[in-house]
Amino acid sequence: MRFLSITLCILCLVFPVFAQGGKDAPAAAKPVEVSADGIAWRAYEGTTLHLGMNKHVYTDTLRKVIDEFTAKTGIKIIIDEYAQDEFMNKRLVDLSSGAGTFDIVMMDSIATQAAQAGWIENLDPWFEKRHLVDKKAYMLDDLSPSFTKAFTVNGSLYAIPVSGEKQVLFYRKDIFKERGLKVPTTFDELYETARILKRDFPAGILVRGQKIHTVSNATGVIWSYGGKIADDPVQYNKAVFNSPEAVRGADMYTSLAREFGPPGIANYTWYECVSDFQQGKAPMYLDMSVFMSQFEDPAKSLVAGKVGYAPMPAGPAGSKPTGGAWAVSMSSASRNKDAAFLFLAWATSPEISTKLALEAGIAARASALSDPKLAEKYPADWLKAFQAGLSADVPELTFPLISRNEEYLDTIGTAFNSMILRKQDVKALLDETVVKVTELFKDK
Amino acid sequence: MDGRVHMNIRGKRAPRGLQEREIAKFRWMMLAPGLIVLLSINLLPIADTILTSFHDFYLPRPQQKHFIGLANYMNLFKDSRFIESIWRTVKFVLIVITIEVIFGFTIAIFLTSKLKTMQALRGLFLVPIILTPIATAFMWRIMFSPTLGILNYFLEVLRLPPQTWIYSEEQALASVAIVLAWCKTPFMIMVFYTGLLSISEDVIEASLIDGASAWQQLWRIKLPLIRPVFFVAILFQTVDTCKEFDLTFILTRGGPGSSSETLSVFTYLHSFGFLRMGYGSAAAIVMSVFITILAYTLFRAGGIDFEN
Repeated sequence: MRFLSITLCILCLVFPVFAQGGKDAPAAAKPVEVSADGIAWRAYEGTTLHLGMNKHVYTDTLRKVIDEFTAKTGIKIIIDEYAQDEFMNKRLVDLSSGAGTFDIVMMDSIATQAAQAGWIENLDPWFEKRHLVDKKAYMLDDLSPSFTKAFTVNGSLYAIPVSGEKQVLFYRKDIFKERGLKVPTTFDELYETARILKRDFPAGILVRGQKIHTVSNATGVIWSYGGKIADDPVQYNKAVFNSPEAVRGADMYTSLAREFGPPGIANYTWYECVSDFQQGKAPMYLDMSVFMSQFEDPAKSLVAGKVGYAPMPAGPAGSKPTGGAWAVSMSSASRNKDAAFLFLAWATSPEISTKLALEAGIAARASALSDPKLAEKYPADWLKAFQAGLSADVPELTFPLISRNEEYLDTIGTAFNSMILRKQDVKALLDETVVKVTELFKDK
Repeated sequence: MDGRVHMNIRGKRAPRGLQEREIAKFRWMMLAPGLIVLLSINLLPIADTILTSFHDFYLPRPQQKHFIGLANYMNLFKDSRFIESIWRTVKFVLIVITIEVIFGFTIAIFLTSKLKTMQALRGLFLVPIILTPIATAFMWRIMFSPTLGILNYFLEVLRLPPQTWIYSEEQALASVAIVLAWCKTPFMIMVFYTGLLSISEDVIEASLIDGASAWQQLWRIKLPLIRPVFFVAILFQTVDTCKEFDLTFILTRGGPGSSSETLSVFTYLHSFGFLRMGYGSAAAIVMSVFITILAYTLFRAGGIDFEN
């Protein structure tokens, strides 16, 4: 009830914005004047765009280039940035109420839900508008398919991925060298190495243990053992992560955490893992590639320069890391859609993407990642591990393309979390969870 | 005789004049802004929540919203996770209130003493109350860290075994309770302190003459005298603790497992995580009823009389 009143208050607060929206819209009847490259850069001069963004490296980096866009188009950009939890609430309220506070909205795995509910625009028709984007120069194919897939609903693209990440293994080069340890390439070796290291460190290895945080990382291990989450990567008829392969994968992930993780790992999100690793409390950490910049920053990290990067170890079916991406999308309630798409196409173009990649090591475009300047700036083994992750052949998407995503995360995350908390019959627990998840799949 | 005079006066009384009606109208006009605000931000949402709780309403699909009667409530009471969260809330409230009363009262007693240092410390005890819950929660989360946290460091210095705090099923709920008690004890201190100050010096002097020890004074005289204040403070804190959300959510998100998932976290998760608004609203209504019952029980038990 308290939240309902809060929601109502927020709605009241956004009304003034709502009223202001009309003023921003350019005169519709004006014929569109295009520049030499065929794009109507100055047609929306004087418009103001609001970007609803998560606090993220991407947002920080984007902030540095928006002045360029304003100079080029005369469109004013306002970035509304929020911490993740707050952002997710704000985004939900804005999109579901159709308030249209944001023209551009940052997206994660909620995208399917938002697309199906009609909260965000189908971008396919927009790419056909020649005065807004030059499709040839834009190179849609250049966006990594492993990321665009997660934002494609019913064959149409709803959001453009901007920052991609893949599971890699972080390890301490100095400690491995000193003890003559080999960098693990399989999960069995990883288990053995973690066991040896646990004797002298609070943790032999770090992995995320908190309920919903376990899901993406554990999924990668299940894949590597030959298991899958759903029977069909498109249809999602039923959940199959109780197969013998998946059971072994889930057992491996949760055993690593339970046996060699730090005390209290069952509530570890990436935040705790990254802090522990930065402080040298653990010599190995299996998680997303994007944390590299946190470890190499000497201001925050005691281990800068001592970290090695390796592809995720392989299971019987190979190394199949999961990944995730943040993307940008356009709100259906926006009143400046033309200007919003112009910005979207510009900000995700090859040229700007490469710029952002060099600035912060984040990208979702193949061309940006293969830029030679990138290899100079960041550790070579990190780039290699990341690229190995990108090129790995994975059986399905990290998160199922279903509407009830949050409930999925909670259900399967509860299972992984309880296996980390205490040793138990993995098969029986997963059997039980599969029934519940299949139920969620039915409601697409 | 008296009666007749009275009747005469009443009989003479004219029907409401135009002026009076205008006054009545004016009164309503003056009340209107307040009433409108009250209605729109309090009563309407409550009514809407009750209405929603009778519907199957999945937020991304508003067009499929339909009436299902009491089904949400029936499902709630069949949902073991919900029942557990009720007991957990009771346990949580008990821990928090116990800590708050013990520390609140002890510190208040010391504050009323004539010790100079205590006078100086008075302001310091109120510091937690001015901190925002979000900042408090993040600060404690860092302190609770089993590997990097300062709490385990102190335990180590004292040669005690390290604890897992919010990071294990066994200790999560109690750890959150400690943080909440830390935040809200100042409120208790203030209430008890003012209560103790209001006791007349005469009573204390009289008891001294009768030869009461300090201990007897406390139990036989001070406590009974501030009993109403005592229960009002507990009542407020109980209601507040039942609704507690921000600290729990940031510290543990209800985890590990669901070991610290109280009613408010359960409600939030189902409404704004899973977007099942009907089910979430039903949980919110049950929570309100639960708090009302709890408050009423305390009300009766403490013999609180707001009129007096």
